[in-house]
Amino acid sequence: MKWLITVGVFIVLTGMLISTATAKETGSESPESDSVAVRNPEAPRHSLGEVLLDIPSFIIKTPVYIVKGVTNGIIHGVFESPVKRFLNFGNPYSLFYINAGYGSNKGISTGTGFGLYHLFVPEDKLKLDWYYSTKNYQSYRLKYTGTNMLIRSGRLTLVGEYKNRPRESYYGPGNNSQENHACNYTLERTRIVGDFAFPVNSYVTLRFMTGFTAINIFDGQQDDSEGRIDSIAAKFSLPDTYFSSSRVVTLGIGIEKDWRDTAGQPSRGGRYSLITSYNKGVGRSNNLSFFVTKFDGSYFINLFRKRILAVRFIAQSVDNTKEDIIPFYHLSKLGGRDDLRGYRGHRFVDKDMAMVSIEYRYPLWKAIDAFLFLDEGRVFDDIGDDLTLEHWSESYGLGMRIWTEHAIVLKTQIAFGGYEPRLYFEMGANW
Amino acid sequence: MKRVFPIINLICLGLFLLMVSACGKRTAYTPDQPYWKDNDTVSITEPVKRSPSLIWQLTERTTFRQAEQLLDLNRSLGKISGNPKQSWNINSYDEVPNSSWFTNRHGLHGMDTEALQAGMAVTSGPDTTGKWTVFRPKVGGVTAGFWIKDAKGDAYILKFDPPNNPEMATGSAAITGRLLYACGYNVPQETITSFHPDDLVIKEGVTYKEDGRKYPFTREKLFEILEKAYHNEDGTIRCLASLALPNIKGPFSFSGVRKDDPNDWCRHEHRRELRALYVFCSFVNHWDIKDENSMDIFADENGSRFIKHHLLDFGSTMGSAGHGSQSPRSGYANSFDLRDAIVSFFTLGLKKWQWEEAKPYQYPSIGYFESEIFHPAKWDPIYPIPAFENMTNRDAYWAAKIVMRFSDEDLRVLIEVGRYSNPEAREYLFQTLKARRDKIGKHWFSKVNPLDEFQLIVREKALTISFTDLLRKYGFDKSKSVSYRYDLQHMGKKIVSGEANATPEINITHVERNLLIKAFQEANQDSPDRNLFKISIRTTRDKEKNSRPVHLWLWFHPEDSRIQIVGIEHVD
Repeated sequence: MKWLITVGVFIVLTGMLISTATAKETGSESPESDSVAVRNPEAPRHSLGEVLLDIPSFIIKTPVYIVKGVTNGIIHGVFESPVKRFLNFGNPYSLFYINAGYGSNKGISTGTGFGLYHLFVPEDKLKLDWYYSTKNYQSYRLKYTGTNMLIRSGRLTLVGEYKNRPRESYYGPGNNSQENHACNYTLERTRIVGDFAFPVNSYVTLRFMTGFTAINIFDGQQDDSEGRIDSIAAKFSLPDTYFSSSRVVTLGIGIEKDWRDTAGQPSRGGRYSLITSYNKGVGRSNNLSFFVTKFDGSYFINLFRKRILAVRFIAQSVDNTKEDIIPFYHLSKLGGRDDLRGYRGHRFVDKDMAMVSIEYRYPLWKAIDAFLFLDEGRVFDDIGDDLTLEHWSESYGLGMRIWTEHAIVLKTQIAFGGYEPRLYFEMGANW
Repeated sequence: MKRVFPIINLICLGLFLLMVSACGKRTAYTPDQPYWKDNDTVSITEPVKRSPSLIWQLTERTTFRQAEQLLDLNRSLGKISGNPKQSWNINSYDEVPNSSWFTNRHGLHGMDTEALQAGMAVTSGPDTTGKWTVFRPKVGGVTAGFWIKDAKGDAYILKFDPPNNPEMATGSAAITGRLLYACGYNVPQETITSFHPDDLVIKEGVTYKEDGRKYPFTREKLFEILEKAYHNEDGTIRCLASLALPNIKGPFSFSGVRKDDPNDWCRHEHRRELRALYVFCSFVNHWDIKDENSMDIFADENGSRFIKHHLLDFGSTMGSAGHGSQSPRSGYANSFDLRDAIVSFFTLGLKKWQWEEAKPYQYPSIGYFESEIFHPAKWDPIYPIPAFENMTNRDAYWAAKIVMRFSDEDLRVLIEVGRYSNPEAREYLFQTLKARRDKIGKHWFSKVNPLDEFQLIVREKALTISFTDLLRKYGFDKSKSVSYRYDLQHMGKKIVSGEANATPEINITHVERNLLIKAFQEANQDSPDRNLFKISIRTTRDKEKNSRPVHLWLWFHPEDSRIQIVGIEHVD
């Protein structure tokens, strides 16, 4: 102990002694002919005190140096190096990007994306992206979007995708389902969709959709909850067809009205869409047929100085035209990043659903907002019969959005209300 | 565990003392001082051109450097203890010697009207008697521009006014360039002139790049560029012709040193002229100050080849953002200001920033430029500049002295250079600059003891030291009474003390002078500080507490009993 104090005091005194030494200016022996005194300057030497303090400084700054080094490498690697040119394949209308994310179910996902622009007509784009996650989630998608297609101002979107999600959860039907009754299953979906949007005027758009969706349900891969499809059905006393795979052809029509001032950060106006689709089972699902009708409306009020109140209302109804049981994954769902955010994805499942969200958005910076939100929602067996103030679940939280005039670029939010807080991080959100 | 705490405490205390002691440096004063020139123009091997990444700089300055500075114990403890690291390149008079970075001009010597208006003048501007040959276009970006050669063969970069703001970008660039030149910085020559598009010819074989491909630069493309510029009613186009800098070696950085330049001895964040550039930039709202708007050239002067450092591109100053008016936010926050964002976050957006309720600008030729909410210490550039972040009150005081040297007449002279056609706009600009200048002077002069212009007068055997109280000189001090307390010390021992009321003068009588000589004679002959005397002056205004001191260092020459001022230090 004594020797430590002695060494400490020695260091202090030595440092003080040396550090008070002055940094000398070295004067020129012979000033210039114009009699201006010229200095041969040299940087002041660091005192012992400064040198000694630099050691702990360096140690505590090391994590910053590491992150800085990695970021520097990424920025120079992506934006400044010939790699960028190589990835663009010399085509100014192409884009290569990293596809990464995190979800509590899927784990860390990584993948890539590649886009080609101005392919067939001006302003069209073709994007191919994929990811694979640490928990075996995988997705592959090819998407083509073209404007001025078929007719003037018409927008055609064609999507082909395959997804495999081996750790999805099911909690039982209705609002009384329990979080601790969670079972898990694997959902494999292959989908081909065509969507043609035709603007009637500058606000109103008509949409026509068609597609084919094949969904397979398998046993889940999560170790800590029930994962066998047959025993899940038994557990909830539900028929096996409720968990069966399906092949469905969809034909839909919709109308959209969008009178927001901007898409990325609307401060005035609103937007609604009403879409109804007829879904007919084919092949092994020949007996399946149902209608899905969904209303999604939002309205924005500029309270003061771009402090915005945003209100959203969603309602969906799924009606079967025959007596057949509709598999649960085609029913209305609540929970997850787009609706009842404090709850796990698809936490509540039933035929119909309704929810209301209120957000208070306020600017942090030019294109960065923060927001507080409150969601209220519930599912119904029949919304016409059960629409009461009971059994509504709520969630609340806060988040941040980075936006451009045309779209939300990045959105992160934390939500409460369910079993545990939910953290979301998404790119290109629509609300 | 209990045993560990005292040791940790001791170490922390030790480190703190080390830091404080490390900050207590002073310059060694000798009779051959002050030095007025740094010998940094020695011939060197030609360095390579630098091209730093803008994205990386923005990221690094906004995030990593902020964290590093916070965790830098030397810096943080220095600030906490009130002993921030002072500039390295000042001389013993607390001034900046001439160098490849800076030349004392209006601040020390004063420039006449003609010199102020001329600014950096190598040529008389582009020759308008002949055709101009376009040899390099600037395609893309929000502002129009291209490079031309005039009939004399001089190369210029032409920049224009945006269509909705005639005279704005060119006017502000011309004024700011001259103002910074008068302050002491190296800038390119910039001239406002006009031309008719028919007087442009395109050099054969000139191409431009768009979408990664090369295309021949045609007359149609030239006119497309010119569409982004304001056209006068007679079809001519007003432009700012910036004489192209020769032998460019890329921008300098506002931190560190240029490793391939042996003359670059002082870390840039510790150069006073770069630290205090903050004050000049705040004066003219040079929000776009960044590494990219600087340029090193490999100069060849007086038989020596060395790196000379320039500031350039002043099109986004005062009310101009180049392509339009400045946003009211520019100058009051960084491009991304983490600090303000955090405040907004936790106050749920209820905090009202002053710029949020800015009135629309009055004059299109001026843009948004104001003086009411301007605060000299709260001005912010586009992103954090390391040199600015190291600026001390002493640095700012030095710059404020130069700013205050621009008299009302000087400002009017400079505004003339902008060639604004609307007299009301000219008057508005003058009033705005004047108000900002006065705010700068008042603020920074109050941060140190603003005594300056020291003079030593020998009257028979007595000695008078006269000085100027800058707060009073410029009418910023409204106090009814003022007094100046002084102590004369020799090798840490007080010899004489006294007080001067109202008159900024210290009179050392014949008797007191003898005490001074006696102290010298009694001191150890081997001591290097034997000849050195220190006078510390503190100012009291309206009997309120004393200001920080100004230290005046005197050198006693025993051979002829002469006394010389060798050092001035305004304590921060």
